[in-house]
Amino acid sequence: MLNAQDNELMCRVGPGTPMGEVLRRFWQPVLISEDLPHPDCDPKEVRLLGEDFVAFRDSDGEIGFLEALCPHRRAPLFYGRNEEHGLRCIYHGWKFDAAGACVDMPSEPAQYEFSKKVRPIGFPTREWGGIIWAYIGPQDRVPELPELEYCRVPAEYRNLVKYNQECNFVQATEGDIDSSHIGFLHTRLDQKTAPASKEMLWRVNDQAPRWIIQPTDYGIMLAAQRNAEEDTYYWRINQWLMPYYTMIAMDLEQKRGHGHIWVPVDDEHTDVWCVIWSPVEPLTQAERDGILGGPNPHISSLDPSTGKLRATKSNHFLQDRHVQRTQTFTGILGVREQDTAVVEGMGAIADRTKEHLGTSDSAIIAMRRYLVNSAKAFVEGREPQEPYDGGLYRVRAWSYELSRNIDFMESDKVRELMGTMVV
Amino acid sequence: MDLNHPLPIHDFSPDTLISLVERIDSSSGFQHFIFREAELDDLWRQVERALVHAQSDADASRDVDRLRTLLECVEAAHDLVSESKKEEAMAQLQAGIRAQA
Repeated sequence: MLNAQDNELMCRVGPGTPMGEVLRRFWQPVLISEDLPHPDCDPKEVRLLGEDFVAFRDSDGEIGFLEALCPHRRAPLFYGRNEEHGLRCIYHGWKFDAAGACVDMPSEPAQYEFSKKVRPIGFPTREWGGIIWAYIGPQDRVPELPELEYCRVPAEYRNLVKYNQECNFVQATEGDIDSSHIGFLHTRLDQKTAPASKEMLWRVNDQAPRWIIQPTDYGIMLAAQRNAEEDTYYWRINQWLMPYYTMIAMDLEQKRGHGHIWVPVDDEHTDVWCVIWSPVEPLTQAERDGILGGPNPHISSLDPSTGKLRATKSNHFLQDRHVQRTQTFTGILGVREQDTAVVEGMGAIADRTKEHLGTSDSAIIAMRRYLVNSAKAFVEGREPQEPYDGGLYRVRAWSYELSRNIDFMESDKVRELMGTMVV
Repeated sequence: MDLNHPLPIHDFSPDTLISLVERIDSSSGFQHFIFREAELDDLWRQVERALVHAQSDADASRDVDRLRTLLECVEAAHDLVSESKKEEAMAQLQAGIRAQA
């Protein structure tokens, strides 16, 4: 349960809202690099934190991230001509460079030097880790980029895909924090009788893990301890990093990472970034193909032309009741479609005054508390600290079989596993 | 007293409320208060259910005011615990105990 005031405080992301201002202190992932594939390519519309922007790649490959509307007569710059180091408005030809400065104003007599009197409409950008980042917060507080492991591996070690979800970013994120739903929403009916791995067997045999929920400088570490062998525990460590990054425990060999970024488009929409990476080797083509296709895809119905899923609330996420009776718990194909069906079904902003949380929801309580505390601290004049130390983000989510005698919080092995392998 | 796990809540008797007061009193740090919040969620759920029942059952209607007061106390304690304000949260639960008397 969360009272209505805290729910509003936590979920509203527009300009001037406490949470919106906290979020604006961070770099925002806005596009995959390939979304702007070459110099002078077509610009892209971006909606972020309830505001509209246009992104383009200029003739030198520099990224421009500008207010969506031309400051002249408020025409959409998205329709503009991306040419010769700038984006030119189709209405009267005003042209803006990648920094957002007006560099040409052919509709005005040159002697007025009117173009120099127009304020720049651009925002800082970076391109790193296959991601185009933008910063729309106070210009005297430009933060550091989060040094996430998947941004630091070579491009062939990483796969990025994103889609738009029709709900608030907090309930979207909660799906990744809520570890207990894995045993239901994403399962096959034969998982208990024919577990695919010993990890699966441990998870099936111990469905009520013990939790360590540890606040950190970057967010929250969520450790689940399950019985493994007689003298060992199976540990799964997930991470939630401010303000909207989640990382799900790697496999026991620590060869594949999986995470999400839940970027608020506005109060009622979220761009969901799905990241799969390896710290040690290139991903195979089969792995890449299996993300959007195959028998058990991560996303089964992405429409690249819209950036949305074809499976939607209006078609009941293409649920197949026969498959639900005979093969899978949901009858919905695709991990993301399964998650999206439940979180969008809660309504655009979940009414948390009506929910009934159980003990397995402690991690969700913790994340909400961290977010609400951040927003309340901001209202009291305290700035978030996480954006200004990108090194805080050099942690990983992992799983491991450890001796039952280990003191988890003091173990050197745990400390070693917690840090990223990629320098 | 194991403060690192939520206590299963089976009822909203004075004994249960007293044990929750003691657990809040002994708590310190983020994780403890997350689990205390989970316990109060559990308690709140049970009181709310009893209140809804009392409102619809003529035989139980005399309990409505008492349960409504208790629910308000539990809700307030829940929100105070979430802000790590343990003294105020304990005071609310103690008011809830008195309302039950």
